[in-house]
Amino acid sequence: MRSRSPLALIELLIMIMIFALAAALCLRAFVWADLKSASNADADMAALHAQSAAELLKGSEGDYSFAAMELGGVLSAAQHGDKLAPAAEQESLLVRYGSDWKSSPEADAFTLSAVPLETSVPGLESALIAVNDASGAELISFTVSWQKED
Amino acid sequence: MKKNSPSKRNIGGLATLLTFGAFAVCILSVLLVGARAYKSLTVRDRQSFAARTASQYIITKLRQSPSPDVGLTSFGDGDCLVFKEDIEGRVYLTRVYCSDGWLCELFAEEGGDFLPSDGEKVIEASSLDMELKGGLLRISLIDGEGRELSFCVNIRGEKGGGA
Repeated sequence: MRSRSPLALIELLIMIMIFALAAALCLRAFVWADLKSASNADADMAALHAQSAAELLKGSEGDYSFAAMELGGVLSAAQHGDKLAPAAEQESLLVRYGSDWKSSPEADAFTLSAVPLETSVPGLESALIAVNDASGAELISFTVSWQKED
Repeated sequence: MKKNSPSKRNIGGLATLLTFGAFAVCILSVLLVGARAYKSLTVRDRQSFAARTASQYIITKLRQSPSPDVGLTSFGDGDCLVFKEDIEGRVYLTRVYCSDGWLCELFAEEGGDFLPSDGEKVIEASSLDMELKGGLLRISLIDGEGRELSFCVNIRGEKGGGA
């Protein structure tokens, strides 16, 4: 009687090849889901911190020093955006966060920036608030405006 | 008829067995990786949900409050956010506070004898500390997952009232 071993081996090899293909697709989906979930969690926290910075700027009528003190950030020279021109001779707010979203000057996982913008409406002030991750990818960005009382 | 020698048959059987073993290990590995990925997803989503819901609940309460009369008092396990409103000549208070590991809300008439446990449970949270200064409300919240969240809300037209 002829041995069935070679036939079984070929069957198994074909099965492993099909399985490897399915496993590769599954692993890709797992990694994508994990990255997406992490990115969503970061976006949630970024929104909360950006919202907090916006509230601080609105509440203090654009006192960047006060906002920097409250958030544990620093003041830095305003950086030019591509579309929006920063107000001249004004400082911007920069807050660095660690991966646990605790602010620290040495942390580099996330960066929150608030750059003052020029407005055409007298008495109205604006700032562009953005949160970026370590790779520079933008997690959230919006403009906040408030009325400056004399 | 040509027959395979016993040693050749044994090697063939062993190879089949080894291949099957490798196949089983691969299945197990993919299952374990999948289970780990699923676990990390659910943990992270639960953390995000707890943090987002608790913080946005308080912020939305402040934004949607029909009365600008917002204040702080002590109720439950710590600080309590109080919204005062006049309904048909009677003063009602909406209290948002932490009690027994839950963020609670209690809507009742001012002066009523209510306990923190009478409030409606909203979401798990172990601590709520707040500071109101010059219309800026600083909130420090420890959510149900044990994460500390600190954020600020600018209260428009705040009168500094409350109970």
